[in-house]
Formats: sequence, C-alpha cells, structure tokens
Amino acid sequence: METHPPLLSVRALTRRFDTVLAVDGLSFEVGPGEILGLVGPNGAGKTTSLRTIAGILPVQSGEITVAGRDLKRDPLGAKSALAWVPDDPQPDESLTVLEHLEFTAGVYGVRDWSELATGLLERFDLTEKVDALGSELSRGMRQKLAFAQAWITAPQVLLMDEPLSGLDPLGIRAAKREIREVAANGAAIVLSSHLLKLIEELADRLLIIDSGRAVFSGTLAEARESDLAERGGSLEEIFLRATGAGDQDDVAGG
Amino acid sequence: MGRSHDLFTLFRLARLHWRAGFRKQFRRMRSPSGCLFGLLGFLLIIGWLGLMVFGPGRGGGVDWGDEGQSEAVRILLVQAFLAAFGFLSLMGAFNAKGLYLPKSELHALLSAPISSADLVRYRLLVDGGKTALSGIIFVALFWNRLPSPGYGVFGILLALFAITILGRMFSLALGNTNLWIGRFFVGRALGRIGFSVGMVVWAAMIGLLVKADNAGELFGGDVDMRARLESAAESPILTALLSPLRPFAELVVAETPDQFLLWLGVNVAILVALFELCARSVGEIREATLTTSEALAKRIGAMRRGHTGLAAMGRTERKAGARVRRLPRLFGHGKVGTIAWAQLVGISRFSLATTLLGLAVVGFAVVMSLEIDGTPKEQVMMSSLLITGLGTMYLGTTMRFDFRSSLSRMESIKSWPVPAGQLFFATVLPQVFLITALLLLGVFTSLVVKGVFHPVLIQCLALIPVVVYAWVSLDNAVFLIFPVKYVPGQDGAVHHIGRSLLLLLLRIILLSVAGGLLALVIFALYWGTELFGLDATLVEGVAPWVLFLGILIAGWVFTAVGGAALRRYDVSRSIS
Repeated sequence: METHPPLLSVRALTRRFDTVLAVDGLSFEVGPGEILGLVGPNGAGKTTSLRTIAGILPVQSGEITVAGRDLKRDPLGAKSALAWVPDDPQPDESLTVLEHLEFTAGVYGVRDWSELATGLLERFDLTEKVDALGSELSRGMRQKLAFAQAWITAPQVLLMDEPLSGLDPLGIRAAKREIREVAANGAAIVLSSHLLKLIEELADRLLIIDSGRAVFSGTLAEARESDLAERGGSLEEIFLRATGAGDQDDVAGG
Repeated sequence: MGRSHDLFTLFRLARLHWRAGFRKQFRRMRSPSGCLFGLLGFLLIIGWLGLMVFGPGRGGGVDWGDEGQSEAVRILLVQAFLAAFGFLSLMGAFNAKGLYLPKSELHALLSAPISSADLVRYRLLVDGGKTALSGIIFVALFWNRLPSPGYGVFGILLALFAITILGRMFSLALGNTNLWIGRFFVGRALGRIGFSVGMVVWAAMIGLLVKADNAGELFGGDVDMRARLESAAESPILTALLSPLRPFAELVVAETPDQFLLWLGVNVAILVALFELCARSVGEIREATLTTSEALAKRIGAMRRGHTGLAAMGRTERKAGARVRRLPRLFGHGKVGTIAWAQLVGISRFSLATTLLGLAVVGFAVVMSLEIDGTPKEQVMMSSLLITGLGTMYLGTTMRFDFRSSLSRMESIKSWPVPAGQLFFATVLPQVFLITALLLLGVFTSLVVKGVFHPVLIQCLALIPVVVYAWVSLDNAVFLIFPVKYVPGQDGAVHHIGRSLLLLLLRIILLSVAGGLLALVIFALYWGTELFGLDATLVEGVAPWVLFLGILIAGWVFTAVGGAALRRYDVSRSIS
C-alpha cells in the first residue's frame, strides 16, 4: 500500500495561559483523505489546539507542519493550505452570503470563484439566502456559510470545531456528506466534537485528549481492542474510561 | 409564591448582582496591569471629585450659591437644573421603551411567577442604587454651592431618584403606547419623526446661539445675569411650570433643621407615592419589556464589538426586503483590496447616520474657518489646518470602521493568510479614505465660499490623507496593544478610565516622538540653509514635502507597530 506523507503534522505542541497548561506536548499526524476525530471533556484543550494549528494563536512550543509548510517559519503558506470552521462562526454583519464567498476567495487568492460559489450555495442550501446579510443569518445558516467559505478555498487541511452546531437534520446530513467528500478528494480533516456518534460515523482515527494530553490515539477498532473497552465497547464507554470520567461515573452510580 | 417572597427574592438577586459587581472589580486587580489601571482610574475619579469640591474653580460656571442671590433665585436654579436633568431622562426613555431587564435576567424573570408590579419595583430599586452612585458626581458638583451641604445632599439624591422613577414611568407608558401606535405607523416612521424633530431642535439651538453671539449676549457682552435671574424667578409662568420640582428644590437649599425635616418628609412621601404609582399603574409590560430589552442587549453587544453611538444603534438593522447594493472593488482585487472592499461595504451599509454626523462636524469646522482672515496663502493654510485638525480628531474617534469594530471577528481575521502589516493597512484604509473625502470636501467648501485660492492648497491637500492615515493607524495600533471591550454603564468603569488615561499618554508619547523627529528634520533643513547660504524659498518649497514624507514614515511605523500588535493579539484572552 502506498503511503503518503502527512498533510498535518503536530509535534510536542504545548500551550500555556499564565499558570494554566492548556496543551501539554500534544503530537499527532493526519494523512491525505483521513479524518481524525478529536474528542475530550470540556476544557481538555481541543479548541486551543485547533486555534494554534489554524495560526490564530501563536505557537509557544512545538512544531506544526501544514502541507509541508512550517507554521512558525511560513505562516502564510501554511494558512493558505488550511481552512478553519470555528464552533460559533461570526460572519461579517455587513456582507451578503455571496459577498462572503467573494471575500474569502479574494483573501485566499481563489480564481474563478463565481462558479464555485454557485455550486457551494446549492450544496449547502444557501441559494435563497444569497443576498442576506451576515447579521440576518440564523445560527444554522451561519454554520453553513462557514462551511461554504472553507470549501471555496479547496483546503488541503480542514479544521472543524463542533461543525454540526445549529444545523437541522437535513443540514447535518448534507454536512456529513460534504465532509466525507472533501476527505475523499484528499484533504486531511481534524474534526472536534462532543457528538461521539458523529465521530464514530465519520472519523478514521481517534485522538482523545484530557488536560491537554493525548490519552488515546488510534483507530476505533484499536480502541475497541484496547483496555479502554471491553470487546465491542461503544465510543462513549471508551471516552469515559480514557478520560477517567467513567470511574467517577461508576463511583457516583454506586 | 407570596408577594413578599417575590420581592425578597428579587432584592436578594439585586444584592447578589451588587456583590458580583464589586467582586469583578477586585478580580480585575489581580494582574499587575489590572492593578495599575484600577489604581489610576480610582485616583482620577477621586482627583476629579476632589477638584470639584476643593478646587479653586469649583467646577466653573455660574456660582449658584452666591450669597448675594435671593432664595427665589436659588430655588429657580435648582429647579432649572432638575428640569434639564428630567428632560434628558425623559428623552432617554425613548431609547428604552418598556422595562429594561439585562440579558442575564430577561427570560428568567419574565418566565418566573413574579408579578409585573414587583418586576417594576425591583428595577426601580436597582435604578435607585445606580442613581445614588451617579448622584455622588452631582453632590460634588454642588457641594460648594449649597447653603447647607449636609441637607442639600439628601435633596439632590432624592430628586434624582424621583426623576429616575418619572423616567421609568414614561418609558413604561411609551412601551405600551408604542405597541399600540405600531399598528398605525409601520416600519420606522416614529424613529424618522423623532430624528426630524431632533434635527429641527438642534438647528434652532444653533440658530439661537449664533443670534445671541451676534448680539454680543453670549461672549463678551455686558449682560446683568443676576437681574435676569431675579426677573425669571418672579415669572408666574415659569414658577407654575417648575412647581412640581419645588419640594425637591426646597430640600436642596434647606438651611435650618426645621426646613430640612419638613421638606425631607414631603420628599419621602412624594417618592413613596411615585414609586407605588409606577409599580401599580403598569399594564401588560412583558411584550414591550422583551422587545426593548432584546434591542438594548443587541446594542450593548454591538458596543462591545466596538461600535459606538449611532453605528451601534443601527448597526444590524435593515429594512425588510431592501435591496443590497453592490460596491465596486475600489481598492483592487488582491488580498489588501479585498479586505478594504469588505470594510468599505460595511461603512456604506450601516454607517450612513455616523457619516452624516461626521459631515455635520466638518460643516461646523467649515463655518469656523470662515472667520479666518489674512493673505490668501494664510487663509488657505489656516483653513486647511483647522478643518483637518478638528475633523481628524473628531472623525478618527467617532468613525470606528476598523479593528475597533471587528473584535468579535478577530478569530476569523487571524486565520487569514495575509501578512499582519498588510491586513492592518487594508483594514484602516477605507476609514482613512472616507475621512479624507469628508475633509477635502470641507476644505474646498470653505475656500469656495471665501473665494480664495493659493498654490499652497496643493501641498495642504496632499497632507490631508497622510495626516489622517497616521492618526487612524496610531489609534488602531494603540487599540490592538491594549484592546478593550467596554460599554458605558457596564462593569469595569474604573479600570476603563485608568486604561484610557494610559492609552492617551501612549498616544501622546508616540505622537510627540514622531512630531519631535519631524521638527528636528525641518529645523536641520533651515539651519542648513543658513549654513550653506541656500535660497530660503527653495527650503520653503521643500519643507512641506519633508513634512509629508515625515508623516508618511510615521504612518508606516504605526502600521508596523499595528501589525506586530495584531500578530500578538490573543483571541483567547478576555478583554472586557
């Protein structure tokens, strides 16, 4: 089997906020076409890790390589190959949906964006909202717009933080289909979510972090084979055991 | 749940809010910068209040407590002050029709089994607490002007509370009326009427001021104010109009214990009656409360994102179904051009009112510039300087279509693959473009009206965009170094004052350094002229362009500082 170099490589990433250690020596890789499910309890350091990889927070310690470009040495090159879908997208209040796509295309240097935009608007059910301003969009519509903005840049690495928030069942189905398609086209995806069912459904590999540290990394099958689960255990059970929450649950449950 | 239980719970909530407010203030003091900001802010407030009470000027203006004044005049002046404050309070009610409840309380209290009357009582008491705090400023202002400050303080505080209750009654009445009127006035007709009336009143006031100035009554005129006040105090119409405020004025100017106790009793009785009347006279307030509270929460949110004044009020409002006009890519199709275009779109769509206000301010500067005399060269230079100076300072502060209005989108902004310096430049460019356009319009209008021209105008016009860019880029660079999300009336006022003082100092230092270096270069140029026997007119011709280049370099340095500040901007930190 042919092996490709990873599109996203994170080595010994450490991030501190004053006295709080938010991310502690996190390392992982994501290859082309691969979806990595990032899970962890609240405050585990998921969003901080993703923000650092996206170049939003400066890298304090560790190495991040996006599509072969070092984020510290070549931040613009790394950012150009990457798209970021935050957990609560805040569109520009004054731009229309279509102008958001035009804007993103301009900032990422995407040519012939117009046709791409038309297709994306249809795929994400935004055609009727094409002239709506950012301030007029519902939570779900904002999420769909964030998807379309990320998609128009044809990213090699896609980072998504709780991507299904606010979407209706139809939107969720479309989003899952689109995420799979982007991966099938060769992008490396990091998907952070508390929806374990979603991770189970989409992710090829799993990274469970707790207190900023990786407590499990591997495929779901490997997790099921490990000490974290009895044979055939659910992801919920694996997650609870890996983060120690399962023990507390046991105690609480008597 | 019984009524007393409701009220008890609400009082407890108010008490918890107060405690939380103080706790937040103390928490802000934990970091060294927080400690410094808090201390500076505290010292500034205490210094200001102390200056009003003990300072030589005692706040300036008319000496209301002049011993030569009759009691009637004193009462009249207090009544006039209270009437003015009351008027402002009633006007403020238009902004908050119905009962305002903070976002954190809105749904919890409206869905709780609490009567409307108790909700009103609760808000009145919270307002009372806030009034008592803001009343300290009025007390300091009047301290030296009261016959017996110890008595007068009670009068001022009770009067302010009464006015607050009246304002609340008015806003509640407006809330109900507005819903009813809304059936007849679709859209924003009421707002337009209010705006038109406001503009007419504003124009009338300016007209009266100009008329009084021309007649020599305003500045430098020989007017016997005391005689006028005495005559006004005897006016039966004025006395009748201001009579509802008389009990409060009597307490403010009370001199003896008998007077004090008598009017204190009367005032307290009035307050209790007003309080209960306000609480019991409310009808169905929930719909109006929900509407007004959500609108205000939206406005506070907009202000937290950096929008100010009119921009914050109308920021996200658009007439339903209104067509969105497309703007051409004025700044090109590259990354910088794209970002600048998006900024300009924002200005064009949501900032008409702010721009019109800016135009009015430039118009004011133009009117002032018409008074400038001298040779055509002097007139051109001085008019340009006046309009550019005033306009840049005012417009640069009020038109915040840059990083100061983009705080909520910093996460997205920081993920763009654009160098920080270019990103900074592109973001401030449209604002500079707009302010420059307004100033150029102002300078041209002034010179056309005066009918003067001199070639030095070209140099003056060339300087305008670079001066505006340097100013706006400095403001934004300083803002990114110490970003703040502060809304007047919200938590953190003391810290904000301290922080503002430091930022002002930082701006002054940076401007002084830039200005000093520039002055040095120009001085060296003149010195070189004398030393080498060069033609002085040559230097006069070169000096403005050196100035131009110097300001341009300053703008470039501020851009670099801004870019660096943008790189180190940490989206994960709380900056409220």
